[in-house]
Amino acid sequence: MDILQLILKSLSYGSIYALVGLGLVLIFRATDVLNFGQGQLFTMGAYFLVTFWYMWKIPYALAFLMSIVGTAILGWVMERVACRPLLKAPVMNSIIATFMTGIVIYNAIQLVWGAEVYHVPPIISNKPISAGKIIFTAQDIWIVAITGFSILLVYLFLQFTKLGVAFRATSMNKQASSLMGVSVKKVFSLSWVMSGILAAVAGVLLAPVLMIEVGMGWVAIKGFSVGIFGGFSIPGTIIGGFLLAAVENIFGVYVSMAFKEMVSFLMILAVLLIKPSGLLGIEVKKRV
Amino acid sequence: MDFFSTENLSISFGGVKALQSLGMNIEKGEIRGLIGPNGAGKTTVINLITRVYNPTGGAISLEGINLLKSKPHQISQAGICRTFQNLEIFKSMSVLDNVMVGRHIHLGGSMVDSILNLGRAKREEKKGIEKAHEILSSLNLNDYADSPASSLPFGKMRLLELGRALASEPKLLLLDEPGAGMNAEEIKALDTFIRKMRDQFGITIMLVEHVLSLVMEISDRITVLDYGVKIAEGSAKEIQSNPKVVEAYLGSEE
Amino acid sequence: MSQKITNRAFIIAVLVLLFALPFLVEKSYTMYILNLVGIYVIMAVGLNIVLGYTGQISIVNAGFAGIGAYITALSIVKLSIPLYIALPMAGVLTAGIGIIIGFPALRLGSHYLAMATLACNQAIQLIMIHWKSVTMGGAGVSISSVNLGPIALNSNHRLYFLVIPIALILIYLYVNIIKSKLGRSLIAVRDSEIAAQSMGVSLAKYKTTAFAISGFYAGIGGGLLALVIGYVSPESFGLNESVFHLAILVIGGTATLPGPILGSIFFVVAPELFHWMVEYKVLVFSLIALIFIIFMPGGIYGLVKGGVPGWTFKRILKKA
Repeated sequence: MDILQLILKSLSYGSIYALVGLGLVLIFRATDVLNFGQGQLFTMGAYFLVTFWYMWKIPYALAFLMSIVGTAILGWVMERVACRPLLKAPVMNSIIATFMTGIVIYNAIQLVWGAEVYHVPPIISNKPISAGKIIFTAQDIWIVAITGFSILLVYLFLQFTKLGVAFRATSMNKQASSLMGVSVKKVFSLSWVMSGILAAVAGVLLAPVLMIEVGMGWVAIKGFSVGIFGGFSIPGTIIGGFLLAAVENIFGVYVSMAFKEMVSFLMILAVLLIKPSGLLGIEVKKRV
Repeated sequence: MDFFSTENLSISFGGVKALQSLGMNIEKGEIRGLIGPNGAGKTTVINLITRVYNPTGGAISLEGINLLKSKPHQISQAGICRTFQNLEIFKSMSVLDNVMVGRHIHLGGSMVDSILNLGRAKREEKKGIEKAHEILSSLNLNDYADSPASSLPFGKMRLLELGRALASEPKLLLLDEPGAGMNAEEIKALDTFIRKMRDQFGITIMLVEHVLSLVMEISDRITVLDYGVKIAEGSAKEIQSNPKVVEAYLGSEE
Repeated sequence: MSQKITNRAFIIAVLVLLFALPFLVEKSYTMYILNLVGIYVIMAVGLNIVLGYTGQISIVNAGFAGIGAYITALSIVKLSIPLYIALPMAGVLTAGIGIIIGFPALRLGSHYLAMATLACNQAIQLIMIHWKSVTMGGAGVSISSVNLGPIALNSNHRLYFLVIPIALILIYLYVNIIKSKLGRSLIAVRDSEIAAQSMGVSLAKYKTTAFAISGFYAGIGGGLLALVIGYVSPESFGLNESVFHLAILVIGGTATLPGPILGSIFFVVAPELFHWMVEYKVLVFSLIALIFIIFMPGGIYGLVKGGVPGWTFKRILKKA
């Protein structure tokens, strides 16, 4: 298969990785907490879509919206439960807390929806269209478009709204921001809510492409990988998302399909060994 | 042979030259003050000496031994110990245990001895505890020996760090703003104690301080840094009348 | 002086009780439960050394136990190695793996280390499943009969006399470690890496040692688990089991001497008393662990020491 074709094929997955990674980064930059339950937010987005659109037959647009709102609420709850109470606690406690929260949600999903695998039909046609030698589907375009749109919204939000600026300030320096009157608590909630929204978008977009089952949270590892790759910077993470998907596909075809999953691990390893601060990231050294 | 010296010591952090070609000679038994406005690079010097940082250039030696070959955990063995500007007390331990960690390199016995609680480990611990109590007494902290270190008032925590560093029996002691947050009485006691460390125990001391009264009073010589560069060096009197030093301080927030 | 005597008396009483139990208890199932408690205590105290006292987050402990279990089972079943060699060997080899997996700890901050150890646990499980020629893959390995020298360990009562003494010895060593210069050095690493180094404590040496010790303990625990259950398979050592290991520490009280013991007792015994827990074990224990880590980070031991009600409710009100 053509390399160009492979790259095109990876746009859908790349979008998802970028969105999930972006959610992680937003939380980490604002709250210094790495949300080990991020994968569950993604999974919830997909399951909400299954329930609202597929099972309850609510029209797609509304179901999409409801899924996003539902997951955003979940993100908000996760922040209040696993992040806020532990701000003054040792780092390990907050890691364990988000980890356990992820496990609780994972098991709760299994309890409510059972272990069956769901399939959701694509909303946009996935009939192949060819342009010259290249084949793609309308769905690919749809996924990339919505992803791009979401990222654009995030960017506009962060740059031009009051709360967005507050977010950026808090990411850089919590103490100073707090002293300047920024409600750090609001920013914390916001970051988790936004992360929930992004994860839900990713979940909804990817629902027709993947099997919907409880273990969908594996996407989180990809999110971590691209987050680390991007040094937890927003542009770096987005680039990393598409890069990872492309490299995975190329690796899968030219090297080994079975070990495709290794690429994300190799990516983390490479970053940590070569440039730990990641692409466009900032290196943080503890001042003594 | 110089007791302690640095030569052309430099370090940059992402393009910012934190320290440029610092040359310093400290004589044995000297009390050397290291002062300068905030951000001048004083703690950086300590971090370089204790190998927390790697210099981009230059050399550091103690009694002729090249320190750059040492790893951070080997510095104590080489005879250098330090205290921390922002206090790095072992918060979950007792006061006594903090000092016992300071005693680490002098406590014999292998890990196996520890695991099996063999005689050697027990004997060494006993010796260490005696010594630790001695040090705590000399700092008037012995009453707190079994209290959690985190329960100490701030000024006493600084003294605890001092005691912990002393437990390693250093030849050269690097003090990073030991007087910060202390009241006048505590500073006076600190002054007396630092002199005692030099006079009675023969420890050479490098004192980074912002409490200028203390530094001027106690130092044999003072080195002044500004923006990573040494701008003056001499006795307290010489420093005080040096126009470059005055200028460096005038613009800074004190 | 009287405190010391009370402690001694307590310990002697417990030892006498533990020794007498198999003669007083008839039901084999009860002995099985006691054996499980002993095994989980072993694995939990080992984890406490690296996670609680050295402050290195290790989500790979279940994987270590699995390695110990497989080495023990395969040595006995496939290689006919006697138990008294196979079990210690499992401990030592797993300690070696612990050293290797501990390498990331030397360079990675907490978040990355958590991810790395989690990834290692998954990788270990994948190897168990896919290295079929050695591990028999998903089918697992059965151990039908084990002999310790001439004695057949063919009942839970007899296994008790293997498991509990080993557990007691390992607990004794654990207490020694924590109270010694070694333990103090580990705690120093946790409390302030930079101060520890400046006092001559090598981070590399002590972090590696901590992982090695946790590997040894988990390896022995896993080996005993193989004997007690009689069957080893990959499913028992995956993410869910890691959750249990963490939950045990959190619920019992991380970085406290008795915490892992209390947590293990709770973990093994509670589902026996409250049967509804069995079907939802992962959900229940992760939820309980979550509640503890937020509201009662000192665990059961912290509650017992600090006195319960008023403090907990105040914190709940403050945090909500």
